[in-house]
Amino acid sequence: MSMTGRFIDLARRLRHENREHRRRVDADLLDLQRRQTQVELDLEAEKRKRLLELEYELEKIRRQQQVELTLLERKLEQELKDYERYLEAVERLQEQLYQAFAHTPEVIVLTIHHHAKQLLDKMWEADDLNLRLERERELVKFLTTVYEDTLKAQEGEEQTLLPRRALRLMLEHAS
Amino acid sequence: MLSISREKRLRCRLVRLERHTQAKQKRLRLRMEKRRLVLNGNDRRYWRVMSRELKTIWRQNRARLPKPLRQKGRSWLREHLKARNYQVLLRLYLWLLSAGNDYFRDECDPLLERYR
Repeated sequence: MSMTGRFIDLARRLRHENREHRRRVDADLLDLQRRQTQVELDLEAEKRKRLLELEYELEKIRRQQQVELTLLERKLEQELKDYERYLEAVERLQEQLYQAFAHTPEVIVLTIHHHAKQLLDKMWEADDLNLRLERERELVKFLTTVYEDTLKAQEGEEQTLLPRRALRLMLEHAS
Repeated sequence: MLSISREKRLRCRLVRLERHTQAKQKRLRLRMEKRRLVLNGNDRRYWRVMSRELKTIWRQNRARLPKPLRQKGRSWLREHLKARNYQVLLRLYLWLLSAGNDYFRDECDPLLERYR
């Protein structure tokens, strides 16, 4: 083969190899691009999923808190009604004292009424359940004592001038 | 591509929701407490009556009180009225009632036996 022929042959071989090389590189590049796009799509899907979960959590918490608020409102309304009932019992007690102890100075009747209200408020302000129960027992004991004094005064043959047991209980509380 | 700010906004909403709910609960409790105080009323009438009656009976029967009580004077009485120490005032009233009234002496004396 002549020199020219060899040179042309070389050039043809080099072009061929170059074409093959570029074909391989293009294939790799395409594959890389495809994988990159897939990763981005997966990431986007993951983010959307997280956002949906977050929105769902938010909605769930919002509803839960609404329910808790409603329950709290009902509980407080009920507690207020209970308070009102206790207060009515204390007011009735005052009326009974006036009827049973007609000659007792007004100051004493009012002080007993005031003491009952103080016991009721102390009970209401207790945060701890055990303390609250203890104070409720104290209040009920006092109201019962006053009621028994009024019954005894109404039933008794001689005039009782003072609700002694109730006053004794009050003086004992003070000391 | 979704921006990260949407996630941030959702998290901020969550924090605001919690704060908002706590504030609502606090307001609810305060409202109920206010209603309770309205139901309770005030004790102005009681303290007016107590103050008036105690001062009158003190003036009338002070001389018949035991010396330690007599020596305390009106300022002591005013102090306890101001402090709204109704249990101490009740005891004083019973002392004065017992000192000034024969009918009540038999009733009051057993109650005050401990405090002589």
